[in-house]
Formats: sequence, structure tokens, C-alpha cells
Amino acid sequence: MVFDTNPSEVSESEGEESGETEQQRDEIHSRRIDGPDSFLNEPTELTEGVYLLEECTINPHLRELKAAQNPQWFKRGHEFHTPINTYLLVGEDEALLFDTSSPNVRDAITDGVREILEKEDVELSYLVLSHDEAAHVGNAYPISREAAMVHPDYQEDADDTYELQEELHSTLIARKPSRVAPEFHYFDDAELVEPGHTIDLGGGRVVEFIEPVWQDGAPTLWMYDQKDKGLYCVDSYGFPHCSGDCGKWADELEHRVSQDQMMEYNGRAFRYIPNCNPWKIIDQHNHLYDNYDIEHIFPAHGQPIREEIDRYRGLMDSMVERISRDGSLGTEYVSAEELTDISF
Amino acid sequence: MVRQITDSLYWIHECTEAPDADHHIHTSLYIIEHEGSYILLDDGPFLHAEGLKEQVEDITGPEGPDANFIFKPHTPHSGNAGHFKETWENMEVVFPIGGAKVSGIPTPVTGFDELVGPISIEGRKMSLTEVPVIDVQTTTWVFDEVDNVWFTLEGFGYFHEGNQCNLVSNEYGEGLEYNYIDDYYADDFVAWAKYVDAERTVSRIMGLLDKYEPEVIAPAHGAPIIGDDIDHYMRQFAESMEVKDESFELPPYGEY
Repeated sequence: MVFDTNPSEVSESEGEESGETEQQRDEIHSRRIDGPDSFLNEPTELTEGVYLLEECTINPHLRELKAAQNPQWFKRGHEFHTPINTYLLVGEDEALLFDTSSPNVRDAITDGVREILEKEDVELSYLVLSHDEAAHVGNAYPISREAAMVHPDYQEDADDTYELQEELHSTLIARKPSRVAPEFHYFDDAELVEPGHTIDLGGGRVVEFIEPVWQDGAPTLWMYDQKDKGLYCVDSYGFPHCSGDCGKWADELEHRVSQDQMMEYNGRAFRYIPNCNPWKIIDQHNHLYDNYDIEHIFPAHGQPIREEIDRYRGLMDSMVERISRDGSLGTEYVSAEELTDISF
Repeated sequence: MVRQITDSLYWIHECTEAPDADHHIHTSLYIIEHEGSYILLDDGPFLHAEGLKEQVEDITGPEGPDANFIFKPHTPHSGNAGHFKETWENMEVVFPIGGAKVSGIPTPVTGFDELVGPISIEGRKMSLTEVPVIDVQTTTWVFDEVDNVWFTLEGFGYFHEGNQCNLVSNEYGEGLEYNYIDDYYADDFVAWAKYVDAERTVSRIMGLLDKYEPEVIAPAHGAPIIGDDIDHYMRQFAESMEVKDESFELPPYGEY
């Protein structure tokens, strides 16, 4: 049964491998959660004119899960972080912000963007909304008044608080939906572009929007920066890290990023892969590399990558094959008899 | 317009027009009435906040629902959670997994650790099922064991014409149209369909239909699909997936 992702079968085998008891699994399953908290790290200049603003979400549930499974990359006693990355690209003439992180770090992200713009003495001309998920573009409104990604009630609150939107006159960029009105995705005030559209920020920094290989919500834009040969690949190439490793390049981590570490994020993000012909995805991935010289990878949910690009490329292909064969993660430890009652 | 679908299930909806075409897409929400309590399923994009709120209150009265279950924390489905919570203060907001503020939901929520398994909301026993048609990672589907209704979020969606907004599937004269089902499985909603393995996908859904034997399918982007129309939909869907499977093309990277 290649495509049967029976979660109980997956969970039993994984649980046995980790030595976890049935009681421990039940304890994990029955807990009620309010979801992870998050914080923004100090902005980091990754390459000349490319800044990382990394929001780290702290997930205590996955920390305990990993503590039980004890993979090599997980540091016991540390927090489990899944990053949400925003990138600010500065050209000679203009700057572009790729995503905005989540509303959880609204003050910090607006302050961080402002400080970088002041330091670089440049205007933020473009705000790119990769797709309509709050974790990626939840601060679009405080940064640009035209970007309505949260309910108007909360925008009015923001009017009194966030001056940045008064200072900036950036153009919103989003992908043109093909079959529904742009307001369905909150893109009604954006300049709607299609793959192939380019923007010249000056000084050799030309960015091109491209068709994603993997995507979470739709419609989604990926971006390629000709200056750094950098791929901005949104939800793909992600992996979690432990506290202490925030803001680092992938090659600066203590352990080489493993397939298991890549699976931890991508195996949850791309739960659709069991429905797909994996070779179509891998073909498109190869086709991307055939046409773009990629020396840097800037994912939304993992550390940026500048070394061993081919190895990471291979890890993504292996991930596709593995999910296609074994099913995705994210539904483990389910007991059919167990009832989690949340009557109020 | 509110429509009662089963003894305890109500369908409410708003529509968005497609650009340059005479067809619409539904934003469908559902309310389950259970032993005097009301469970609102999804809360929709804030684009439709006022229209949806009025329809909810047509069923529940001004006090609103007791719980709002969100299938996935994604603004087209959870965009009104905070606004509705302010309107109906006693309503609990529930979604399966993930962070509320990180997901743009400015209100406390209760959730589960898992995405598949039995649950109970307001005493109503339901199951989080496998999700064979998924976009964002925290998506859930729910099967209601009392009325045999399968809530399928992005799954089983379809466009409709401008004069069909209030119809359920068995009121479409010739049945649901192939083109409106086929168009739905494209880049705006189910982007991975370009990579589809038709046999895998259709078999997986058929297996779940055999397992749950739903009498009603309740999609987020379509009207309820009732009785034999489920088979009709699956035939159209299977044909659409086969066509997509055979017509995969690589994007014109470098040649735009």
C-alpha cells in the first residue's frame, strides 16, 4: 500500500524505535495546547545587503516528542524552534521585503525593518507577499497601509500604533490568482504579478519571481535574486533547530543537517505528496536547477544555506521519495480508542 | 442564505465572483446544533464577515454559537475568529494544532496535539479523519458520526454559476458540471494537482468514502453534496485527475 498513510501504523513503528511507552504516547496525545509562542531574533546581515529577520516559534509539544525520540540533531534541555524568516533585500536604489513574519512579533519586526532601512539609507519600495498565510505576511498592514491581511478591527488598532506604514510607500507584490478574485486572498491592493516578473533594485540586484516547486497555501510566489544567486523558496528546504542556533547559517550548526531533521519540517508541511507522482516533483526540482545557478537558499522555515547546495537538493528529493513511500509526518501517536474531549 | 441540510446541520455561505468569468466560488460555513448547543465550523474570510455573522445569528440568535471549530488556521478559513469572539463572548475558539497568534488569530484557543483521531466538541462525537486533499499543513477534515456528514474543507470543491449560489448538489438540473470541478483543482486552491497521481489520489479518497459512508459531503468551497451526487462528483473528479496526470508540464523556468 504505497499511498496508504495509516497514521497508527506509522506511529507504532516510530514509537517502538524511540523506546517510548504507550503511556507516554497517550500523555502526549491528550494534552490540550494553546500553541507555540515566538520571538524575533536580532536581525543578521547574511550577505551584503541581504538581512535575515528570524522569528523563532517555540514548540514545547515537539520538544517533548523529540526528547522521547532523541534524534542526533536534537539537544536535550534546549527549546525546539521552527523559524519563520523574513528577508530584507537592499539594492543600490531600492529595498524589498520578502514576507513579514507573524503578528506575534509585530513590534519587533517593524522596529527591525525600520532600523535596517535607516542604516542603509534606502526606501522600502516593495513588500512581497509570498502567499496569504498569517505566519508569513501577518505584519503586512503595520508595514504598508495597503496590505489588509488581518481583520479590519485589528487594523484600526494598528493605525494608532504603527507609524511605519505612514513612512513607507511600498508597492505590494503578490501572485495573480488565476481563477478567483484577488480579494479572496487579500491581494486586492497588490500589484499582481506572474512568474517571470522581474524587479531591478539597483547595483546588480535583480529579482525574478518564479513558479514554486513545493508550496503550502496557494497562490504562492518564489523569488530568485540574480546578485547572490539566491533562491527564496518559502515553505520548502525548511528544518527546525534548537535554542542557541538561531540566526546561524546551516553550515554553522554543530551537526550537519540530516534527512531526519529535514523531514521534521518538510514531512509535516507537504502532506499532499502521497497523492502525487514523486518523479514529477523531482523533475521540476531538477528543471529549476537546470535553469538557475543557485548558490544560496533562503527558506522561510529553516536556516539559510550557502554550502553543500547539492546535498540539500538531494535531501529534498529524498524527502519526496520517503513521504511518497511511507506517508507524511504530523499524525503520529493516534490511538483509535482514545477520545480527547474538549466539552466546555 | 441559511439552509438546513440534516436534522442538526445548517449550511451558510457567501460567494466570491471569479474575474473575467461568470462563475462564483463558495465560502461555506456550517453549524451543528447538538442538545441545545451550536458549533460553528470555520469562520471564513473577513471579506464576508458581516454576511456570515448575520446568517449565524439567524440560527443561534444574538448570543451566537457555543464553539467555533476552525479546520485550519489560515486566514480564508479563520479570518473572523477574533472578530466573532468579540461579538459572541462566550464562544470558545478551537482548532486542532498550531499557534493562535502566529496564525493571525488574536484570541485564546483550545487545540489538540494531533491531526487525526476522535474528538468531542460540546458533547458531539466526531472524528478528525485523514485528509486526502490538503493544502496547508495543519488542515483537518471532520466526520460527524451522528448525521454521517464529512466536512472536507478544500476537498470536494467546485465553482458554480451566478444563479446557483443557494443550490445544493441535487438541485443542479444536470448535476455538478465537470468543468467547474476540473477548474477548481488548479493553482488557486489545490496547487499540487499538477503533480497528481490520479490512481493513488482517487483510490485514497474512495477508500475513505467506503470507510465512513457519508450521506453528505460538506466542502468549504462548494455547496453540500448529497447522497448519490457524491458518486457523481467522484466520477467527474476521477476524470479530471486522469487528465491532469497525463498532461503534466514543466514550467518555463528561464524562458518566461
